Amino acid sequence: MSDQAQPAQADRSVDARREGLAALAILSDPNCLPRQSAAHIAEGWVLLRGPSDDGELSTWVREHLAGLPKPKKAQDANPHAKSVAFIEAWESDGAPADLGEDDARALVKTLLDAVPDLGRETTTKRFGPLGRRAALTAGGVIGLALIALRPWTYEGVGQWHGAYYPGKDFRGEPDTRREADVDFSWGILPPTDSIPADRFAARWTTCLNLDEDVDASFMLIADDGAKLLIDRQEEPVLDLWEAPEDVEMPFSHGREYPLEAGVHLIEVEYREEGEEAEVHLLVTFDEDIPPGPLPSSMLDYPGDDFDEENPCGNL
Amino acid sequence: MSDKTPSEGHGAWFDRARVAVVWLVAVAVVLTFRDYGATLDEGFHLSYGFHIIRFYGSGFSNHTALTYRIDYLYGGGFDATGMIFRAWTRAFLDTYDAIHLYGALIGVLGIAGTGRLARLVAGPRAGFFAVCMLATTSVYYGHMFNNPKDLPFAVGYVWGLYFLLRIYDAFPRLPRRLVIQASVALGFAMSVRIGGLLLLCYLVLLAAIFVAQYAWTSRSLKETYRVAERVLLQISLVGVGAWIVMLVWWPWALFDPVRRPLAALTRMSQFIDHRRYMPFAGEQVYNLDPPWDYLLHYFAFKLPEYVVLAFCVTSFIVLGTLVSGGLRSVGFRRLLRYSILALSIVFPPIYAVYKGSPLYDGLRHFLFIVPPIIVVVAVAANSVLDACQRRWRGHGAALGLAVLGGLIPDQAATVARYHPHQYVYFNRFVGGLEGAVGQYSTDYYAGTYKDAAKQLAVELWQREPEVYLESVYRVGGCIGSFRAMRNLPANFVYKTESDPEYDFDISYTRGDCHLKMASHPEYSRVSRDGGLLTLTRDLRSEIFDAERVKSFRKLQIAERQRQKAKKGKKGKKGKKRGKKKKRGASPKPAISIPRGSQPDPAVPRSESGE
Repeated sequence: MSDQAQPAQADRSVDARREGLAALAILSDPNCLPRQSAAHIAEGWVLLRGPSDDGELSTWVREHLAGLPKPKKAQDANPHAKSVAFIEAWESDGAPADLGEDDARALVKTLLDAVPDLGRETTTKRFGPLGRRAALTAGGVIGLALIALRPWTYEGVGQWHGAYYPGKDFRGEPDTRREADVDFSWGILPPTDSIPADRFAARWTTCLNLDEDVDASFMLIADDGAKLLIDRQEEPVLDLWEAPEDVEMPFSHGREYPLEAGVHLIEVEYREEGEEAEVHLLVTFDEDIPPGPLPSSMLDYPGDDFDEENPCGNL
Repeated sequence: MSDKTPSEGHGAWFDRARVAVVWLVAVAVVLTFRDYGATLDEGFHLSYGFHIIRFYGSGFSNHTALTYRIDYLYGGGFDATGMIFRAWTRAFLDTYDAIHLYGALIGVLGIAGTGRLARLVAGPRAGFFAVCMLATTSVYYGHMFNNPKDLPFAVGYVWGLYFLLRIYDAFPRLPRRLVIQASVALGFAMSVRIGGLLLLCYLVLLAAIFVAQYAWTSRSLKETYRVAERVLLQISLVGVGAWIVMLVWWPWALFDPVRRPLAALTRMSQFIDHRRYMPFAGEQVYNLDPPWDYLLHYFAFKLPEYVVLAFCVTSFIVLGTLVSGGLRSVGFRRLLRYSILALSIVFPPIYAVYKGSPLYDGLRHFLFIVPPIIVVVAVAANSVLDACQRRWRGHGAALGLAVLGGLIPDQAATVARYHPHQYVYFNRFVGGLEGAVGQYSTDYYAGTYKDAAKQLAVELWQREPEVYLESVYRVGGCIGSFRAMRNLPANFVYKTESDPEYDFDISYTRGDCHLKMASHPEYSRVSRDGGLLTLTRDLRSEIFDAERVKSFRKLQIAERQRQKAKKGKKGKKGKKRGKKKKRGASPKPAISIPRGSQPDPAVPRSESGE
């Protein structure tokens, strides 16, 4: 389309659209018969074709509709044919006497859909059949969902390898699974289906990956015994295995512990004597923020069948 | 008239701006929804939503939803869809965060609906004003996140009004799409609260007015009969559609679809399951016998000042014009829209006062008339600007916009300042929140506990890190373990019933709970604009010295041991309360505190926590 022709086409489009809206207004008026909208519909097509086109209007309408996207649903296939039939009838006999409201509305819809909207055409090309508004809305909703759900923080199945033993001395075949965190309050229930609720032991293993040297504050809260081991040093970093006499359950122990940059093996061992059971490992690397769960983003999973001697060796 | 007619000139600009504001609020919501605390009603609604879904999931055999607390008298339009949303987002969000996000997005939908309603009544600029005003109305914004009942109902109500007015415009030939849209809006409102039946009454009223107007203009009884028949059929379609939407989410009503919803309506209008005294204008009043001006006070003090003033002035002008007969020049259709708006605002509270319905928790049960009030104010502001524009042309419009441009940012700043406790806002007419504390109900929903708990942990860590690492602190309050403990780290436990001693008392101001431990020093507080919301008291010692606190704790432990040993000697050995065990001589606390996230209502065991 040339630049000179474009304004004329745009004006005709506006006028054709107004004819369509006028037809709708008539259809909404209880005092008017549906056939009274026919003149507006036909005039809309005449305006749409423009003065320079020769030949039958119905032929032009057929060709024009053939160039438009097909209706989405099978039952919508009729409006195109109905519009052509309507224009043919209009050209020969004027407004059909039996034009019903539903048919008239379908004719108006076809007319309005056929009105070229340069902006919409461009958008349709760029965003597909939905159009700009729907594309923007969909984009906005997806954006909101991403901000709200933050899928990049999704912890998945966890970075801790958990092994649950049926005896409190780490004897027997362990029940293993991945855990998101060492943060459990089982109460009087067992940790897994195959492990008893009392007199069991558990060990959680993960690999802490540090980019720089840090002073971390570790804290263990447990009922009953627990200890924290880092890099399998002889002395546990935190030892609550045998609680003092005068301490109530659950009890807490913590300390600051310097860690160098690199990968560190973190292990938490736990044993349950009886009745209530819980264990929590809390850490902070910031003196203003109280200890909380160890961030998964800093951890690497050692694997399901890791080397017992060096669990983080393959990382 | 469809609101989809393309706007021109400034109208299109205001339309785009209106949509932009709604999206802006949505972005604010998704960035901040995690900050909001769990309120008193939420746990029950989460469980109710779960039971409704389970009712369907079990092939209608699980009937817990039919008898669940008093909740079975409500539809579960919000709760059940919220349960579905929670299931979808379970991998990413904690149950409460998920429902807060869902509720807030529904609230944003309410803002969008308010904009549409205002636009329908008075054009694009009024629509833009309405979304700006409602988005910065603290009482609405604050309730969006954690009110599972009143806020969704308000959203259904405002969309219902919007579609009712569109239905009137489309009479007597309603497009199928409009019938479906109206059915969903009305049905959703009724499925949250059966009081949404009001909307069906408005629909019948509108239909009657249309037929009467048609009879007047056509002067043909036969034609009127034909139109009346058609209108009746179409409003029946809307009514039946809405009823079906309501029933889908309401298992209890499904078993007697007509009588049970009406029975629920009767029960709800005389809801006496909550009996309490509450502060009102400095006095304690009984909620089953509230003063007639109870709601007036709350609407006057909890809405932004300019909204209250503009609404009052508009009401007086409209009444004056009505009396002088000046409204004849307005035109029938516009007058009808104004009338429906006025009815939707005025009728519910007047009816409640007339019936002597129990009232409590400020205006939250009447939150649904806040959006229509905002629409009235937006329409009034738009009319004033029109008048200014006619009189002074561009200067008048600029002046008017400048005034509004000053008022709305003021309220937006208030919303930001009160974050995340916007729902406790009181305006300057009562001296702000500070003036309202003790005079009116402020944090009646206990939404501030989350903040208080986080604050306590941070302050303890910063003040006494060495003690913190070695301590399991006991906390108590007036709120039960779940809300107090939900946001505390694992080294905090809730006080036991058998052991009244604890370290920190976290108390909100409802029922003067914060005064119960008044002899102990304050440790931290949550407040806004000088108004106290939650107070944490240190029951350990008045001096925050690490060594002293340590020795104090040892003394506490020793004292507890001594007392328990003494009790044991008194022959109560055999009397066990719950599960107890000892390490050495030390007895274990009688309760186990759930850790990590709030027990998911999807797990039946968690219900006991509520």
